[in-house]
Amino acid sequence: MRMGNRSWRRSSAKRGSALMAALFVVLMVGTLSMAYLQMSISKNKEQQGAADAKRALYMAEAGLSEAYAGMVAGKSGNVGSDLLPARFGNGVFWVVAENLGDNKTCLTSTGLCGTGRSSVSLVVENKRPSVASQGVFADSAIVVQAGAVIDSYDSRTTASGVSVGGMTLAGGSTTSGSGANAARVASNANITVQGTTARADGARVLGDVHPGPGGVVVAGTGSTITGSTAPKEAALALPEVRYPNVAQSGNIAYDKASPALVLPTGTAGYESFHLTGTGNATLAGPLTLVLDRLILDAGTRLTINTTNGAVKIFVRDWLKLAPGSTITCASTDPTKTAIVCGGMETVDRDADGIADPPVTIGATSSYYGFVYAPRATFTLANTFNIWGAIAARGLTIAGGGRIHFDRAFLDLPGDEGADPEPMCWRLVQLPPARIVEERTDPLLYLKLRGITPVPSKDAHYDAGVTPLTGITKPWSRVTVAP
Amino acid sequence: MLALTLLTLVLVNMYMVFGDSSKAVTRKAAQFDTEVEARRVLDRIALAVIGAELETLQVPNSAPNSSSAIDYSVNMGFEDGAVVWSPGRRIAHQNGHEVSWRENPGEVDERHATWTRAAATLLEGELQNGIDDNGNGLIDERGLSFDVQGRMVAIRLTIEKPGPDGKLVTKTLETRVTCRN
Repeated sequence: MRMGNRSWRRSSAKRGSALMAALFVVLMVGTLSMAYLQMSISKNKEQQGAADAKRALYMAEAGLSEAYAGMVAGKSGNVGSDLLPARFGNGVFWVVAENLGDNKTCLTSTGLCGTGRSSVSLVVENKRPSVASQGVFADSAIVVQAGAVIDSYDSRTTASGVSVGGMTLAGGSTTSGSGANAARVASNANITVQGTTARADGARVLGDVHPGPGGVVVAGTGSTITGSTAPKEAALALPEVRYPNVAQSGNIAYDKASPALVLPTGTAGYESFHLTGTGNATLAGPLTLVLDRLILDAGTRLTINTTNGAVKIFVRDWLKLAPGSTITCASTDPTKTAIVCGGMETVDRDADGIADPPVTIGATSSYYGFVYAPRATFTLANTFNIWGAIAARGLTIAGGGRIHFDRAFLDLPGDEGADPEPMCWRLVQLPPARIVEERTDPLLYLKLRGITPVPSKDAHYDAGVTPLTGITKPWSRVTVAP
Repeated sequence: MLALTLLTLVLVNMYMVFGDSSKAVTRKAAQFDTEVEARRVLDRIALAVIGAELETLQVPNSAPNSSSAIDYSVNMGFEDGAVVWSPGRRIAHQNGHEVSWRENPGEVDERHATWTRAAATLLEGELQNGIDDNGNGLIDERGLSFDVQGRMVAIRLTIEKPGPDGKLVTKTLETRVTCRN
């Protein structure tokens, strides 16, 4: 009995020793497994990071393509911003467009995907001069009738109350300026500047008059041309009108003076926009309006207000601003207003037995903007004074008319029809933006802050609109060193 | 006695398992290091070449002869209405195992950097015998080779590093970049 007790005590003392060994083995295996797992995770992270870096580069290049496409469509080139980037696939990007002058724009795109970040820059050049930069332009003949005056000014520097060409500029901004001898009249054919007649003094063009390569300037006795009359070296083809893709919502016919009809901002399309009787309407920007017909009868009034954004009116078939109608511009920035008409044929459009030309501009207006009718030949009434530019297939400036070419059009980033040409591409330093510096998935970063990125096709900014940005530190944009 | 034998067996087995596992982990780590270095160097070369101006892109030989160096210039920015191009740059396989980058090679103001010292003498699968041994269209290409095809540059790189057991661990990567300028 005693011996049994001793052996029992001995075996009980040894109980648990196998557990120690087993624990040791498990610990060792566990440690090795953890080391291997750590290495695998590290490898995966490395591979994922390399893949994200490549994706970010492609994302940045996608941003450049998007901005380029926007510029072709007449946008500014700015797409999204660091505060509200554009969504593309499983990443985001934004593009900053910087006007370098001389028809050149620098597009800098920053792409983010996963933990990858990349920033690339592309300088593009609009080699073909903007049509609006030509001032008064026609594909065929231009006739400046006696008594008409064509001069120039710069809306960016000409102050309120400054007299230009005998007319007082309303609104305006900074210090006074003149440069009234920098008008531009150009054509792909002949240009006639009528001399003194019994009823009016000779026409005056305070600037250059350039006929087409085979054309001539016919300057009547008593006319004044202060600049060059050398023919152009090459003809300038008027680009086709590119209409925005907007669904039409029926017709608008309005005849009330009060209240004024106010169209909502944004994008709209109608078959016909017709002011009759004492109709009064206001178009406030930002607005892109696509119409088949724009008709203002005598006695009607149309107000264009670009204070909050550009107003662009595209007319496919019939633009009729009848004599006796009035167009008022609430803002004096011509670069923000455009009336574009693609109508060509003279046909009976209203079934009255009389053929109607595609373009009639007889309204009374101090119009601040650009008029573009590449397929129409018409006479610009002397009651329709233009502060900006005009281009048409053929053009007659009625006696007593006034056109003040705005030199701000010389520095506009693009032409409605000219495709920018890429000049040089490079990798640049990442911008000092918070979303860039925090190397987390950008979609998650934005989601945590309640921000929904905009689809890339909807993230474009119009020309003249500056996107909001949170970047306060200077961004050197130096080339990335190898 | 029996217990001792059993214990010995267990311990030996444990040692073998730990030993093999440890070797496997070390081998994998060496492969991982080699692959990481190869990818980083190749990405660096690709990013350097992607912004090259096509007219400045030059390699000593064209296919099927191989080139282990490339000369190029990249866009530095836009100033005073003109594009600014960098001085001439060169990426080359040199001294048997180095991949180096140089700006203004051979000039007084030369800048240079060594991107890796682990490049193989010859590309993986290639022998110095005047024949395209690895079937990639190039003959006797070095551990770093460039092949210009129009606007595209094919870059091949073999990195080899000594492994834990003294054997070389090799990783070969290839990429193609299209010059953007």
